[in-house]
Amino acid sequence: MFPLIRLFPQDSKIDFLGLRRITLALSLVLILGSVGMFFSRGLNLGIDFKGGLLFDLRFSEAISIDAVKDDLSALGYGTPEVQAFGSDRDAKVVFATPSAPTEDEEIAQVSAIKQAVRALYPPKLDGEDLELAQAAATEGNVEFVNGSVEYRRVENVGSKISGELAQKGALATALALLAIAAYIWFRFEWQFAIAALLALTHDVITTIGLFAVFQFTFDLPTVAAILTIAGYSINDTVVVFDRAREEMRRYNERPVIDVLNIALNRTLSRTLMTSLTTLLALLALFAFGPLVIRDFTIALMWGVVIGTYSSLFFATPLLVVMGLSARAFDKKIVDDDEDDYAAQLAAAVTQIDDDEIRARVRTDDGEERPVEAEMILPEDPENDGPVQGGRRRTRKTKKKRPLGRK
Amino acid sequence: MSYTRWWQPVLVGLVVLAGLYFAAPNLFPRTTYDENNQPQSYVPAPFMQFQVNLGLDLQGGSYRLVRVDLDDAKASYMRDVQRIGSNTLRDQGVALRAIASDTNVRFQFRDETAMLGAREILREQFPTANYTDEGAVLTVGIGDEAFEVVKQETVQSVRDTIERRIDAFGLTEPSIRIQGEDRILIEVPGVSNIDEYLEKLELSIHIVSQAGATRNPNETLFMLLPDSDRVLAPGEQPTQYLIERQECVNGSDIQGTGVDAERGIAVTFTLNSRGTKDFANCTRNNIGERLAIVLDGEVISAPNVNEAINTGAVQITGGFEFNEAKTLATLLGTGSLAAEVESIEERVVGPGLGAESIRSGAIACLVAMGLVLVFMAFSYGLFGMMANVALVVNLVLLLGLLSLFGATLTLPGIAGIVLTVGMAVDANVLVFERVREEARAGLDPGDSVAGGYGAAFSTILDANLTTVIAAILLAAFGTGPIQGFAITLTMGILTSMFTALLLTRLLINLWLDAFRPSKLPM
Repeated sequence: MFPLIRLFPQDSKIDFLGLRRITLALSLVLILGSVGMFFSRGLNLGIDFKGGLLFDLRFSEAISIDAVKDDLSALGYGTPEVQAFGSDRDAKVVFATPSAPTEDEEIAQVSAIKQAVRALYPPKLDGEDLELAQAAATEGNVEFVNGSVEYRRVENVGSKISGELAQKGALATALALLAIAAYIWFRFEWQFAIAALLALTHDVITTIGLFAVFQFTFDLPTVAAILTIAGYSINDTVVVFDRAREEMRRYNERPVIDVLNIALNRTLSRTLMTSLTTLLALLALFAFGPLVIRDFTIALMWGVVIGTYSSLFFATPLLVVMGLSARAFDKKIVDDDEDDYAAQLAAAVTQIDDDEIRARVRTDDGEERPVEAEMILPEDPENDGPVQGGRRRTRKTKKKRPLGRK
Repeated sequence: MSYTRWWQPVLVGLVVLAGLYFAAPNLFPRTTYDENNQPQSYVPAPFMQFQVNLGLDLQGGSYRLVRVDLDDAKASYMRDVQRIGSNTLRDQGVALRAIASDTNVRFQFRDETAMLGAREILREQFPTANYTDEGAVLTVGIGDEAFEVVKQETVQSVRDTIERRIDAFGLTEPSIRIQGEDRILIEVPGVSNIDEYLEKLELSIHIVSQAGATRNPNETLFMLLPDSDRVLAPGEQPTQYLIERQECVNGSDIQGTGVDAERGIAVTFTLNSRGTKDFANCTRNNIGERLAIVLDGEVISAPNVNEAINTGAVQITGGFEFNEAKTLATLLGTGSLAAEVESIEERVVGPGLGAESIRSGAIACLVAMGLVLVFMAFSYGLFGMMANVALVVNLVLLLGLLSLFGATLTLPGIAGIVLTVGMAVDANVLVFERVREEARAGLDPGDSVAGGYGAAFSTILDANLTTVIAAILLAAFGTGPIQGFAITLTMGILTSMFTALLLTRLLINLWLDAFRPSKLPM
């Protein structure tokens, strides 16, 4: 078959944790920057959260945005935001919610704006609307004249409901983060749960920061995107943490930084593969998908990037900061029998033996022999030389690693 | 030794076939509706009728959240107390004067004894109302319990009226649901404007006591339009009518309605037996006077009464346009809304935009698939191909599952599917990377595969469950389109776990059995 392309190294030895001061500082800057942008620049809230009246109009011929803006401003309901949306025949118009003393008056105002806009740009009826209008016209012997402006989308969110939507969105996000952290706590040690929660918060805050910087429209789909980002990011983090825990049980004698580095390196090609396939899919959605969800797609793409970054450079370093030590896992193996130190030791030895003797090779004379397969670790000077003879890195010289090696 | 148990291909095969079976109806045209609103399906016999529901943002339509004005309902309860209460008390011979406000009714009696007697009589009629007395004055307010009942009845009645109206206009497949205590969610596919169906039309017929009058705060003064001409010349003042507070006939007694275009355009309606009797009485007693036909506080027409009308057939002319008359007749025929409704959230998508969204969404989905398929094939070779089979099957299963549960596919839902395409391979990537590691450690192909799956399983489970948690919260808190996104995301995770863990494993095991390779091609 065709040759396989290996985009990512099989056996990388990147010292992720060595960079932890830099990356944690970078994350802190990102978070502070996001918070700063949020408060200084603010979010470009969509009508979902701000209230207002939105029209997506498609005219029968090319229009000038300024002319449309002038026409609409002349209606006397304030100056709407008008922007090109797709082709030169399309315009997106947003009227702010009229400030009215009571909700009733606000609703009346909104419906007045709607009628005024419809009168200015007579709607082109379509589908059932058209059938109904035509049927009525025929019955009444009146000539039916269809308008020429296609009302592709009309949305109106009252100021009260927009407040509710914002509240619900914030609540959903907070609950999702807590629920995910609770699950991690249930499945892992507490340090992992806290690191995961902080990493999620990091991803959410920086996404909000991105929206503040570029002033993308922040609306309901954005909240959905943020929760999805949370889901994606935790997915990534869990894979790394799972591996970290596994390696800690295996190498419970080594410094935690080394073990975490092993875990990150061993999961690196998976992490990058998955991020890349997801990004590819999202790129297709960005390039070919509907215009209406473009900002949503941008948020998701950012989420994949920041989610991947945070599992490698934020969540895992946090474990070190919180003083997670591989020794904790030494004890965990024999949790049930804590009194008997000898049993603990024996269990630990068996555990290591199991792991190491699992691998077998068939020698030339057809006999199976156990071999020790071991990842070459950065701080192990003995093995640091170049690897020879193919990619399988097994050593036939069986060297038992002493349990108490420092 | 075989890597495959006999039941594994059977089980996986059955699930895949079921997925195909449930997904297949979506290949056929969507159900249409004929003039009588009867569904016409195009799905042939061996398949079930389940197709994926398209959300309003994809098929076009109107989504409207309205609030029922409960203050209005309260006021109307107070008017009932005033009207029924005064009639009952008058029948019992208790003299009084009653003044209603929006929140209570004050009954003024001759003395305290009369008041106490009247209170008992009223208590029988309105047992849940609030009674406070002060000397000869009795104030009746609406109690919490009464308000609760009024609230429920009003919202239900408003919902039913809206449904009758939408049906009367011949719109297909509306969904009208009560949400919370005073909200109604109205979703109508295929139309862009339902404003006119939400109008509260109140029609009543009164006796005119004075035309062109000036305002007297104690009387009901309706201004408007000179006889049968709703178009005013510039500068012309509308005529004002002073009319009697008590109506002869009230809109709830209207039965059949229609439009008559023979001599000018007129809305016609017939009254039920009570209305006919009231109308006959009223016209008999007021020959030579004028009637005011009042719609929403405007006098539409004020004809002279020449003789008693006993037939209960009424015609209103008011300079209507034909369409206007037609709409008015239909709305009157479906009854008045029990309270006013206010539109608090509206999302309307035209059919053009919806169709475009489906098209571009489908293209994006296919391109995403293509990219991921090629990428996987080049990264993992034969195993990548197997993962690709799983990815395609995953989409079929997802579509089948969405159809089976009648889930609604929304625009963000399409994004959810595209995202699933990207993320679905994750489980396989995890497994394959593990298998590679095991193989590098010197295990034979069979053990590498088993080891890879074993080691990756709990990771996959943890990783997916956390995403499901986020998705469930989205479904719980989101509305409409967002829920659609959460649903496709959750279902996509479930189907991708099936295809990644069971289907690809089966394919790999079958391959191992067939070729007994000494080395993995990856």
